Amino acid sequence: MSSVVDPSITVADTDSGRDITAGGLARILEHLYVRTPAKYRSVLVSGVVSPIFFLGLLGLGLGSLVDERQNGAAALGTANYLEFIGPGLLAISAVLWAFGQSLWPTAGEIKWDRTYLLTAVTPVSKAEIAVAHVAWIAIRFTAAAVLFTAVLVVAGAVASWWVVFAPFAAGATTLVLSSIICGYTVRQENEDTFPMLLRLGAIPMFLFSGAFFPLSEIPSAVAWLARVTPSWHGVELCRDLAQGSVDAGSVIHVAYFLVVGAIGMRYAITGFERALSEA
Amino acid sequence: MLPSTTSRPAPADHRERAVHGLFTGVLRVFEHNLVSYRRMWLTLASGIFEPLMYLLGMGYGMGSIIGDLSFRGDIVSYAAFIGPGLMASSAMNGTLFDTTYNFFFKLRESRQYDGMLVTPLTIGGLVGGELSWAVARGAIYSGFFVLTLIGLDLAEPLHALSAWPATLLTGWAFGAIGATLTSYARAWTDFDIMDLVVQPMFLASTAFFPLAVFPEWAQTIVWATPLFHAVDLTRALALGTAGWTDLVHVAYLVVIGLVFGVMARRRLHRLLLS
Repeated sequence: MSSVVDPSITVADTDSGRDITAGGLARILEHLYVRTPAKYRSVLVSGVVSPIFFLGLLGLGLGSLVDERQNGAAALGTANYLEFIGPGLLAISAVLWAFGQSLWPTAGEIKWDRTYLLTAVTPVSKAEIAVAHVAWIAIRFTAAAVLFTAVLVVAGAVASWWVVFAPFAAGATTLVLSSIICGYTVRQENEDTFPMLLRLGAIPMFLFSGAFFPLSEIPSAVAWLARVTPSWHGVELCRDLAQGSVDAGSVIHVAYFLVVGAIGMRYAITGFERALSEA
Repeated sequence: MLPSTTSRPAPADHRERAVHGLFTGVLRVFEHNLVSYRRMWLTLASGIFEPLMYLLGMGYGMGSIIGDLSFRGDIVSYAAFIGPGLMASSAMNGTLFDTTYNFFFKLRESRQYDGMLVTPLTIGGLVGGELSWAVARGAIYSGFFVLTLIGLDLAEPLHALSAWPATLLTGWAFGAIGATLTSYARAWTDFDIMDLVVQPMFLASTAFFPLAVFPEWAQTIVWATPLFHAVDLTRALALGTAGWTDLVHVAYLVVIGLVFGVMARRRLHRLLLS
């Protein structure tokens, strides 16, 4: 109590040299949990309802065309198209959710809502705010991913018990991508570039990450570009888990998430620190 | 006492002025949009990019594992099949965006329409102007789509061109639906509900796979949606297999456009002038 009102503690002091502590993260997450209005509604639409539409209409509609023409195992590596597209949709909705939450809503938190400016003068650090902000985006998606994974099991798009880890793989996809985009967002003066980022980032990642068709079907230059994105690693990891084909490739995906996630989080933290000091 | 500058014209010339006012009104509102979009050409240009990505990704990526499809007896490549379907869908998306989010912003947030109606502009001019702007913007997008279909050799040039007016009709019908629905929206979150209808309609519209894939009961539901008629009409024209029966599609879209256009006008009259 006294630390909050102690006039000798300045804004700069509260932040200097502080590490990220579990206690600080928990406080901000608790705050976000209590404060976010209708916290599940939008994530249920993006993470459950919308992928169900894709699964039901493209999975079955396109699936009936693909399955009558292809020997699934040879062309797709799965028994049928539903098993191919199902885990792909899980990862791809993680990507769309990350884009959706890390642009305008994140800019809003800093600029219009300004709650984080107040949060930053309490004893939590700006780095903790950054990590908690990104984590909150990923946590909500992971909750929705559990539901959609259950839908995949019921729909028969899953071949292995390893799938219990798939929601976390999807959550990791959101976390990694969100940290990068949030880091970008908080560095922007205005929102002018956001629509372009959606069109040049989100849409290509959505279409070309191997969720709908294997990368072997597109020009190899495009395919290699796709292999750099968190989106492709997420799709592949979710599919590995749903298929039970966990191998060295899956370990590479996890390693990618750890490395790129660490870099992305660093980028988000420095961005938040700057944005919350300037304002 | 000075006469009010906003008072209606005397009954004698009311009718003549109303007709005159409708056309100038439509033009003025159109011009207003044109001027305010002058600096947003980048946004406009990137709108062309999105359906193109869909066409390349789904058409060629998906196409190589699906192969050819049959449409009304003709065997066509998968890319040639979905090309016109995506063209119709993008006409829908373009005008829906203009007549929902943008329309709502001007109606409720910036309250721009209140200001515009202080001028001699009538509600009919306002609705007509906004709708024709939305259709024109959609026409730019579908115009580029026509060029893409020709450039990628997915349709005969004349056939592709003949599909262009169908996307204008599509834009008008969905623009009218969008404007009417927006007049009922109370908050931004209400548009979530619209997305939940538009997305399955888009996926089921036969843009991606033929109607025959559906079980019979589902075919009836898909047939009832306006996007199915837009997709089927655009595809028939682009692939050069259009016949007299396609007039059913035209009639359906015209009726939708008229009914919702009149409804939008009536709703806005109530919202803005009473």
